[in-house]
Amino acid sequence: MKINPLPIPLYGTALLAIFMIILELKKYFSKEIYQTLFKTIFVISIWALILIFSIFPFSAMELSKDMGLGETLNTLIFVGMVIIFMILYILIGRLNIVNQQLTEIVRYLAISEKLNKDNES
Amino acid sequence: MIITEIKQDLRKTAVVIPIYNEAAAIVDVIDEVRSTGLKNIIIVDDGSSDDTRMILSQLPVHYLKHSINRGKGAAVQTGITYAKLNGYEIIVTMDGDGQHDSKDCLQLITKIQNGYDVALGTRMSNPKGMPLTRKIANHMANLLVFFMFGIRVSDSQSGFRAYGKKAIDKFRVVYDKYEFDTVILQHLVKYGLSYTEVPINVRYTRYSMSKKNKQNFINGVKTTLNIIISQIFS
Repeated sequence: MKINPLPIPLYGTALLAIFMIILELKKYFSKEIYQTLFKTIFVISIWALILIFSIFPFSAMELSKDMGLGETLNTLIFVGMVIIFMILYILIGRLNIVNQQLTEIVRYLAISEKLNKDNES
Repeated sequence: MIITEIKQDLRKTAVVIPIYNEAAAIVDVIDEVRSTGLKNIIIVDDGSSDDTRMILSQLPVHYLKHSINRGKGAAVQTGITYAKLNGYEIIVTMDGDGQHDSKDCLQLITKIQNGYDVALGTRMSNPKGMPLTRKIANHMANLLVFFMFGIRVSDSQSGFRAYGKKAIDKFRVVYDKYEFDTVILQHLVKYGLSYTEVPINVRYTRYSMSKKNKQNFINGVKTTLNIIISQIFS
């Protein structure tokens, strides 16, 4: 496969993908409770695909041509998907944290009320 | 002698029942549980809007109320936290709609007393009356659990379980909805807890099957998707 110098945005994407893959592996090997093998494989597969298309963009372009898409549109879709995946990843992660905090507050209130009643009686 | 020992052990045993708008069924469930000799009953009301609070204030139970609805898993976790604070060493969790037969509590507790960390009630050894869609959903969920967590069980969705002290101390599940029961299985693997399955009877009554918030096929699919998404993004 022909390797040409990469456009600068693709260097950035490749570095980001490598960073995310290392981060996922670190989480898995430090045995974080919700870092399952399934999650690790899923996330790493996506970032590995992004990494491959970043390093060998022509493979993606050739694929895109075969599919009848123009090169520019292909790049736009590719970059768009990376950004959407990043945003989704961050948003759902934060939403989960807010949800957990809300539940903790509701739980704290319920138990506090009950313990107060227990102490009174 | 044996009877005395069991009575003593039951003093350190609590039954946690999460409920949401179960005013029509909860009194019978409590009476049935008490008739088995289990007197420490912790009811966690997950933001009910019916007469549950008024009804339960007359009964000899520990009543905790979530100010807003947070889901079955959140309610169970609240009950377990309260039970831990009160020094209970065995906790049984069961549904509040009358589907579970309270007599099975004692079988689950016996397994914990015999040394298991967790006793999982399974409906699949006697699935009589179970709707076909639920059977299919259950098998699919079991496969998913095996694929994701590496644990093989016959009923990954059952909420009728007993937990020993080691399990109670280890668990800290942050999943609020029905996926709680499934994700608990992940903890068994992670913490190397011993477990066994106990056949249980389930009564599919007209009341339990007509509930809006029951765990039906659609909710099962939602739960499955929630597990996959939350495993990826948590």
